[in-house]
Amino acid sequence: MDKITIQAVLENLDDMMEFLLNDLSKIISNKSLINQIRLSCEEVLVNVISYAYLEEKGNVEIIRDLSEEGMLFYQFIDEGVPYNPLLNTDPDINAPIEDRGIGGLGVYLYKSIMDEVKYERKDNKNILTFIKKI
Amino acid sequence: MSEKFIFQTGKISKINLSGKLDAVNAPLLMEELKSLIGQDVDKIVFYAKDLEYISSAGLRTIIFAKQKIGTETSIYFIEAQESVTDVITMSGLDNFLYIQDSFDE
Repeated sequence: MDKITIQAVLENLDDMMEFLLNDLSKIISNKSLINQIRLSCEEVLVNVISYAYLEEKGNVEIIRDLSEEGMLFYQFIDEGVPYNPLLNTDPDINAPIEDRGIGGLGVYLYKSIMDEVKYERKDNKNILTFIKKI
Repeated sequence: MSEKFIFQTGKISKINLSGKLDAVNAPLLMEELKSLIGQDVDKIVFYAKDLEYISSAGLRTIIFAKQKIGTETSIYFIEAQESVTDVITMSGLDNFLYIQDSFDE
């Protein structure tokens, strides 16, 4: 299991993604899947960066684990305002373009991409967990 | 200021996408696309051969382009890699875009 704690600012997004995706191409040959995992993680992190901390800057803790059974496990932990993305309404992806909102798309996508997404609020922390069988 | 993405403006406006279109640079593309609002644009052509990755922020700029520049404006995605078209399809955006191997004026 690998873990980093890093300040939740956009300047650190590349470092966060590097940690999340490090060596993933060695175990996943499907580039499309790697990009989908990347999109999912970016969505969570950008959300933490943009909305979790209102005035003072804060950190995000990221945990990554790959089990021998081929389960990819990610956890994102922040101490920002309570936010459960799973309560969002899914966008209607079949709606005409004029009616398409621009919110909620990323959450919808990671719920589609991941096998399991869990949210927990514990000890004043938002804990979002991704599980993906690969 | 030189444009990073748009390399031709007019009735047919052309945009080059390469590398990654993520939360860091999607706002830059959004700013450039804003310059097309109110212009007489029939077609927006995204050349995406070298685009490795698109995030939801990138997808939102495409929705923006269609909504704000003109719902009558046709949007083309040329030579996009499968890893990019996959998420376009997952988002339902393939209904509004022409995903093609080449663009013939």
